[in-house]
Amino acid sequence: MSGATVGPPSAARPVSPTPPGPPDGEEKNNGAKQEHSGEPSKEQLRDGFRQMRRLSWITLGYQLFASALLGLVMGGSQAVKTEWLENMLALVPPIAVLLTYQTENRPPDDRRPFGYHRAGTVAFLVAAFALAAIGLFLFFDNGLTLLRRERPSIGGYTLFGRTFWHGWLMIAAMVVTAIPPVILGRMKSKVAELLHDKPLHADAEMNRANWLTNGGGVVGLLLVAAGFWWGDALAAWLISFDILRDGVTNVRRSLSDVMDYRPSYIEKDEEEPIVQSVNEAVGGLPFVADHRVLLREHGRYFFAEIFIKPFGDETPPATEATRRVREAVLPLDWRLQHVAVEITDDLKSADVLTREELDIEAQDGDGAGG
Amino acid sequence: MHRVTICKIAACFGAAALATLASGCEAVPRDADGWTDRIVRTGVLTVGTSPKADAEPDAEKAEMEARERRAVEALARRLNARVEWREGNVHELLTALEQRELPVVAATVSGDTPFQQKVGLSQPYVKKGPHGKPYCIAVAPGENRLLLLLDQTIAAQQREEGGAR
Repeated sequence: MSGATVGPPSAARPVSPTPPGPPDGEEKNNGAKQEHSGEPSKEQLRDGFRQMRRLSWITLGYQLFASALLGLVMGGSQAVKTEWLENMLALVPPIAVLLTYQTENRPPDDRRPFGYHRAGTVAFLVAAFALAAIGLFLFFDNGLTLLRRERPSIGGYTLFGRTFWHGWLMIAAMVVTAIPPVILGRMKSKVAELLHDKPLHADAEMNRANWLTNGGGVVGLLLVAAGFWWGDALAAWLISFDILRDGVTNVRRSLSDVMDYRPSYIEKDEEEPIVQSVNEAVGGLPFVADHRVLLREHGRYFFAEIFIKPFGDETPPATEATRRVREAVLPLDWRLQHVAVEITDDLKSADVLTREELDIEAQDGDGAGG
Repeated sequence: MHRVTICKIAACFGAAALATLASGCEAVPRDADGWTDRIVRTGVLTVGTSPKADAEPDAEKAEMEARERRAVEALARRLNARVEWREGNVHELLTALEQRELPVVAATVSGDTPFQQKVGLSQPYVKKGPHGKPYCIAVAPGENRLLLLLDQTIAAQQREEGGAR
């Protein structure tokens, strides 16, 4: 590399979420700054983190309650059994969220020079794979139940000396556990967006769709009550499809982090404006002739590598240039935690070494020929 | 899947379920195969049972079998039917039950029978019998009305006879 890479490789700013300070080295990045208007205040972030933890603990408690309730009443219904499993699995995302919160701001060490931001991502990825695998298993298992025309046997349940149909109890449990997650999900969605928290967002999405699976289960049981045995199996099949879908979505979402995708909105796969505003801010500096910005997600934070080709005559010293780049860029978004600047006369140094350049195929061909 | 599509499917599903429920509210849950109606219509409750060939009489077992018999007979009375016993090997009887060829098997089936996922098991008429296991009467799979009636009969019997066992 021909340039000077300046800027610590570890977290470049205080690791706790700090709001952007006023950009003192203000150059021509005003426009970009105003464009990105959704920048939360310090208070909002503090509240957000507090809410995130509170909601995750509430979710954990609630899911334990729901799992226990459904486990108690599940009896011979495949739909209730599957819903019970879904509730057990729903314990995983809030655990991932809390784990991320506990670990992400640990200071970097020699072994982990980039810190722990991705610890939660790892937990999330593993959990997502488990979710997808269980979903796939249930999807086939319940599909087979349907194909084999296995009829659910749901008999009586004796409570306080009265024996009534067990299905009513299941329906009641499904109704009771349908609504709270929807409310929790709605609350979590907002917090997830504010904190750019992928596990929390996935959790919220799972919760928000909860009433559908519960509703499906209730309808399935009502069909069984009406003498249609396939209602239960069909409902169970639909619930397992939902688990599978959650799993696949979560795997995709966690992979976006592991694969160093460019920053994108958590609720849709669209580029975050930060990509454009960093480019504009860097391009607006008077000594920058050409530049290249690589931005990636790192847990909830963004890491940037900025390559700058300066004008030959008016280049400030490397330390000064780096400082100005950082001052122009860091205030743009609180999630931007790490900026590495390289001043170079060859922007191609940002390219990775490809196999083509190694000419492996050509040499193999030579070897075979000789 | 698209959220609206799911909503539509759920709505159709719900409407269908409510319509069927409204048409048959008097007897909910209903049997998938209608065995209860058939028993009431014909006046015959066919019950599979296995012949007891024990050399030495076991008081505990005899008492258990008597209890099972009384439960079956009480169910038949409730349906205004008489019991027609069909003797056979337990495994064959349970296989026939799984195929829904007969409605009930009362052959001292334990709660942990390998058939427990394939047929319906009543509440135990003996909660702790030989080997510490619960013993149940088996009902054809999906015949939930019949199973509920049997469960109610057993629960009533437990109350009368003191179902502490």
